[in-house]
Amino acid sequence: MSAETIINVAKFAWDIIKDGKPAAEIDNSTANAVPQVEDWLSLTDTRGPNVYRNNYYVSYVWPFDDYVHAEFDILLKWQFGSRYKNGGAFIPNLWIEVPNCFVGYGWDAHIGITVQHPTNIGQPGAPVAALPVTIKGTVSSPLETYHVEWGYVVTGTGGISGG
Amino acid sequence: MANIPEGALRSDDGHYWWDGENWQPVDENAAAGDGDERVAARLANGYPASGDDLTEEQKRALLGEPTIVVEPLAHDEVEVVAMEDSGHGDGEAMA
Repeated sequence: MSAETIINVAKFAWDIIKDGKPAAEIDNSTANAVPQVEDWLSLTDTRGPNVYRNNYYVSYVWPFDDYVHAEFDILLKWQFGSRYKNGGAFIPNLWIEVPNCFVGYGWDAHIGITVQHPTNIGQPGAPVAALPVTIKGTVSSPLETYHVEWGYVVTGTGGISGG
Repeated sequence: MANIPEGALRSDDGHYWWDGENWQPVDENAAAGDGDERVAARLANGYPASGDDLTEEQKRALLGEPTIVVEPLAHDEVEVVAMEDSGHGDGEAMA
């Protein structure tokens, strides 16, 4: 057990959009990147959440460009900056919200999130969590399939890379 | 009214029209309110007046390319300090 070893004690994967609708499990699913200690719930100074909007949009072309074929927003949210023994920067919660989801008749969408094992990108005595996150899936009809993927690494300092 | 002469060639995305020499941008504000122009274009190209009446084959032919946008709605960052009792210099800013 060490505060410099960072682990995810929550979930590693869950559905975001299933059968063209927001999945029920997004309401109670989170991932995290916290110190491997028994009292990790005692983290302090938590900030955020940071919020990134991932928008997917398809309409028809002129002269039907006022008809939307599919559109959804996936919000990636994470709290950050949490300290253990007044130091380090951990991620106590990372979660997804879908405030907007429309998929045209005859089409379907399946999107999910996968979280990899967190790592420590900080320095000795000042651990910083890094959590790789992949959001991916398909928007499809019986004849066509579009693949969608966003990949990020979010950090305990609030940073994010990828897209 | 949109700023497009009757019968002018339109780009596939509908945002430009051909004046015979160059592509000109469509006056989007005018075009957005000109439902009659859209309906006329649909009928002129052999489509139904309403998108609700498109066949599956027509929908496939008219489907646009997906656009994917990522934008931050809230973003902040913090500096990192060492943990107490870490033996690595308490409170020292790391970033």
